[in-house]
Amino acid sequence: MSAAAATEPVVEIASASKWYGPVIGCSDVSWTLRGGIVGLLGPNGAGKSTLIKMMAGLHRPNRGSVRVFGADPYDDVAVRARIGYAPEHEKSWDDLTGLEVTTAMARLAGVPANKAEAAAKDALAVMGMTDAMKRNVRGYSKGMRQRTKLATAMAHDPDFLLLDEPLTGVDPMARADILARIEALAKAGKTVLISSHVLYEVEALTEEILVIYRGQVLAEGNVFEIRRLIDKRPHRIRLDCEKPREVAKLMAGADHVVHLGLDATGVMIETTDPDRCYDELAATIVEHGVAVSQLTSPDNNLSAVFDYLTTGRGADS
Amino acid sequence: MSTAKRGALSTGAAIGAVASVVSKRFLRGATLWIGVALALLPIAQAALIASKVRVVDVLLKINLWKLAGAHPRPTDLSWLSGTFGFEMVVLGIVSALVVAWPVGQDIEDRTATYLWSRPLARWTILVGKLAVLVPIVLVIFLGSWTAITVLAKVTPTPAPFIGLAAAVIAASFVASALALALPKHPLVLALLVLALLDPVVGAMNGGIALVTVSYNARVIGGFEDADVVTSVIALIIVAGVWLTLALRRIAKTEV
Repeated sequence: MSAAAATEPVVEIASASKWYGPVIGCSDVSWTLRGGIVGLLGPNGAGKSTLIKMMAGLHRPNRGSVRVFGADPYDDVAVRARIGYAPEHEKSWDDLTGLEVTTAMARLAGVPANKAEAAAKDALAVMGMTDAMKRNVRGYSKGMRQRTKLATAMAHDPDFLLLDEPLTGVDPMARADILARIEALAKAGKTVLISSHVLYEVEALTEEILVIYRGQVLAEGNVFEIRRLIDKRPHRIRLDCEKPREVAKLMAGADHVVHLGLDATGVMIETTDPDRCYDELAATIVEHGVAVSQLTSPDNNLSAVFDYLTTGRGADS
Repeated sequence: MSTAKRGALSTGAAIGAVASVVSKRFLRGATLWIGVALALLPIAQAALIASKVRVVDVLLKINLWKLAGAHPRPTDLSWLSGTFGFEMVVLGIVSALVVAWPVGQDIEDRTATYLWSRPLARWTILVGKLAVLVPIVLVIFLGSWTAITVLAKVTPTPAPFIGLAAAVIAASFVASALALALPKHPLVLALLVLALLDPVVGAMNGGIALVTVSYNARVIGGFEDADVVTSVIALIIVAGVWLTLALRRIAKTEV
């Protein structure tokens, strides 16, 4: 990318508002994205998906404007060929194989018919789905669905990737793998906007964040500023697995674990050092062969920090 | 990763690409076979009538028709009028199932986001779907009517086939518009309108029947003593209005 091109905005949002009847999705959002990886953070219902859908051309703002590469993505069909969008939901065309879905997506995004399957295979290989690509999506795990979804977003080699909660519900191994693959895409010159309600997921990828809360931009800039706020409060991680009692016993000795909650299907860990906790959990799972069904972070801490910011005490951030 | 360079597809290629994925999905689902099974119902009805006619023929031969209360066999297709009417009701059900259901379901379960985020004009997505679904319904019903004429041992005439084909196209447009208007309940709404309301209004006297698919199809098919040209024009208008509504709706719908 040339220096001039690098400074041209990928996204320009000017006073954009979107509402659904009485419900406000986004309110007077203004923001410019010039490139790189940016994390879009906010609790569930904050308006992240609304903002992403407006950038993907799925929703039209009621007020203001959203422009991607200088064009309105809702009306300008051609600009959508430069966008790769992975929605937050897991629904897919379950009757088709992963390869068929990804090939169709590549073709629909404008890849020539004779190259679409090769492009799909490449994208699925990048997401580590080669072995499973000829199986029906119906039989895929949550992690495999997420990987396939990401492959469909990138198969047509877009310049700008919009990834809406791509790490929700995936196991720790897959999470680390997907993050590494997204990072590689950014290093290859793609602009990536990744949304999450868990700061630590995004932090592993980028320092640049946009925090949105109740439909409004609350903060934008460097992740370490907000990280300092969050670290003052424990972070919760829930692991649904086959042997929750054993995992709890193994994690109990860690100095960063401040509380452990146990039930029949999983263990809830409260930690003051999420990075270490995720690393140690991954190591424990591998070492003891624990079958994991889901790893999530309820992360009320983030909401607490949003409250902190909105009450003005965190105005400096 | 290969750099498979891309740009928005041409209109024809976009419709073809949408049609390709829709046909793959549809042919692997159960909906097609349910539609085929439903289309067997008028055939069964015709088979029953045909067997009754054969009994009457035998009674006529042995001069027992007066005793049996039988009437001479009609010489034209008019005695299949009831079967054609029944076809219209079944068409309402099949259109709801084969057209309204997949169109609405994509929006309701949000798989539409995959198509709508691609560099495709929204109308090409609807046209691509209809390009697959309408011919499927056409084959089901034209096949069904062919079977009926064979079973009834009557010489097939073009009019009922033309009437049926026109009805299939119009009903598919109605079904798609209804599904886009109320994607939460596409099946129920399309069933109510096409399988219940349309045949009832179509049976009413006066000009109001001209707004229905079933009445105009019966006229075009030669089962009503009315002006065919008027019904052709009426059906074109009805189909056009519903298609316009569907296209306007898909342009504005957000998922």
